[in-house]
Amino acid sequence: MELIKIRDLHVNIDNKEILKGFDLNINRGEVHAIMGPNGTGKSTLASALVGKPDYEVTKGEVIFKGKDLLEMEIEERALEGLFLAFQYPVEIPGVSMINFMKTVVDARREYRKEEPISPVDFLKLVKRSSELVGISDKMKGRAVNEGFSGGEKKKNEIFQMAMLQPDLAILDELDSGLDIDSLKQVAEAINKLRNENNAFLIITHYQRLLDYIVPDFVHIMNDGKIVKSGDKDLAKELESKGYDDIMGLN
Amino acid sequence: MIDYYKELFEKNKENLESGLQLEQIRQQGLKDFVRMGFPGNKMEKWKNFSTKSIQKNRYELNSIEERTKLDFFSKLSGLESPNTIIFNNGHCSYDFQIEESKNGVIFGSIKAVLAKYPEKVLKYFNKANKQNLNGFNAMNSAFAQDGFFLYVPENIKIDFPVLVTQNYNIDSYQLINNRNIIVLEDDASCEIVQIESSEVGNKAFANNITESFLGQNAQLTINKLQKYLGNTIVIESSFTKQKSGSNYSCNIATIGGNKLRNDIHVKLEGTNCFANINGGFVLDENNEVDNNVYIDHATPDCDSNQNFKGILDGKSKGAFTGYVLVRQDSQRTNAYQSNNNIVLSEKANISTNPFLEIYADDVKCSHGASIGRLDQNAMFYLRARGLSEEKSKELLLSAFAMEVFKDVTNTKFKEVVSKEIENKLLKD
Repeated sequence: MELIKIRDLHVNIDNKEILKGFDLNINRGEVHAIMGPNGTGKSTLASALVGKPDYEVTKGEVIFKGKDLLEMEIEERALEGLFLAFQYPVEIPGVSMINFMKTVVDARREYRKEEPISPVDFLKLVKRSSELVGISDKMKGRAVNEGFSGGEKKKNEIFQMAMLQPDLAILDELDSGLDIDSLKQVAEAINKLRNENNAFLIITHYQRLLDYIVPDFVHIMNDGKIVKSGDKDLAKELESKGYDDIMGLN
Repeated sequence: MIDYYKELFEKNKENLESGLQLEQIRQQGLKDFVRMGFPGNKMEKWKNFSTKSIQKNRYELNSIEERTKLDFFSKLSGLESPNTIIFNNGHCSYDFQIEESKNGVIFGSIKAVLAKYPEKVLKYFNKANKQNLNGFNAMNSAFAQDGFFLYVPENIKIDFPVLVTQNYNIDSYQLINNRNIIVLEDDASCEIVQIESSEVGNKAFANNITESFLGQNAQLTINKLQKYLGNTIVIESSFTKQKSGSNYSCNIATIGGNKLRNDIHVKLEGTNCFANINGGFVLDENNEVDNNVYIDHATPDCDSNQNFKGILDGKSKGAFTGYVLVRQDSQRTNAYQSNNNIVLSEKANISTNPFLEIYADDVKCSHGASIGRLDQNAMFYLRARGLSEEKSKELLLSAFAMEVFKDVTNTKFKEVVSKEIENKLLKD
């Protein structure tokens, strides 16, 4: 079943066109990976989809769960089930992880016209999610991302994802800042969260992450659009031949 | 206008005195007030606080004593204490006047304690506010009517926080001068929670002084919530003297206020003292709040810390002035000062002024100030998780202001303050 449809998406930052006609369809149950050299617009795509200010969509459409995503406010997109694991998670001093999560979980339930989560259910959800990702109790008591190491911040993003169970999760350069053991752990968590109802869009520079989270589709991006698509073997091919060679084939 | 207050004093002399043995202090107060008058904006220490609106009215002395307003308690949600004293318009509710416990603690209306134990009160009255520093302090010395008195003997620790509430609600121009005295003997300790408020229609002007005396190793914590509605004008001056090893912590949450000035004076008179003064203020519309902290490091080996944070919206005006004086012999002093502000509107205004006067050479002093806007990256992060713009803003601002209360151990007080800040922010 179709989850998101991106058609001819053009995005400007500071009047400079970064995305130049991006197309992609993702169905429920699929994992897509987008690879490409630096500066080709991979992160711009992620930011534009979640509605980051200053990312100006000049052309194209994005239909998410049958609705016009580009018409929605930032929070509406999240409440509808879109999630971005940030490449650089933001530190928020003074706001404790636990209070933040409780507020967010309740905001989602309110959006779906459900009662606030009971303290017992909330704690169960926290326990399950933190065990899955491997974050400590200490981290949960601290302020959001404040003083977290690079790896902890990335784990925290996946913890939040596990808490919120989005329909579509965009993972932006998840592997940067993670050591190999953490990477394996986080990948394993994501594999456990995969099911036929959700989907993942993995943005990565290296093939390494895709050894652990095996994608159904791999797309190569250059100069603001997809230039080649294939299955998981495309990533391996890319690893051995390099971007120049692959893109030269087009 | 000065003549008006001279007349007011003469007219009420008998009434004010009523056997309280304060005549000398009052006469000196009046004399100093006549000499100094109202501070003007040209004075450095008063440049952020105009006294014109006080000078234009002829304030009367208010003498109506009221019973406890029970509905007031419903606003305190969990802060109720077995040691509570309630003031309405500067007068102690006649339900409760004085309480003495077996271990020697005396707590009550200063008027009642003065009548019963004059020597206990007179030993301290005006001993921290010795010089009637400015016209308003002198005015208080001349006209002081009531206030609270707390005496904690040596080695006594009061387990429950003492609760002092003050509410102003008079629809005519009346003058309130409260004088509070807190005495902690050596090794005594206590926490005081003060809830100060006014109703929308209030026109009274309150000019209060609190004098605190900390004995050796004494520990005093003051957690104060100020929530003044309407056109209330308030000047709160405190004078604290600390003996060696004592610890004074003062945390003030200010929710709005038409015209409010906090003057906090601390004199560190013995070695190894610590004074920790924190304030968070949230202002909007035409609110005007002026915070001034004066710390006098008169002895070596003492630490002081000032941390104030402001959030300003609308046309509000805020000010923080922090003075640190390190005298010549006060070696190994550590003094820190910080004032960070978030300004949400073009028309809001904040003035931040650090003053460090250092005569000793082995000293660690630092000060920092900032004026900024909301962190847009943090806003985006919260919204990207599904929180509305309004909720994200409230969460960030509330966390920003609450940071100054991070060391406050009274979680109920923090909950009440956090709720008040939230309400104030969501109202905008």
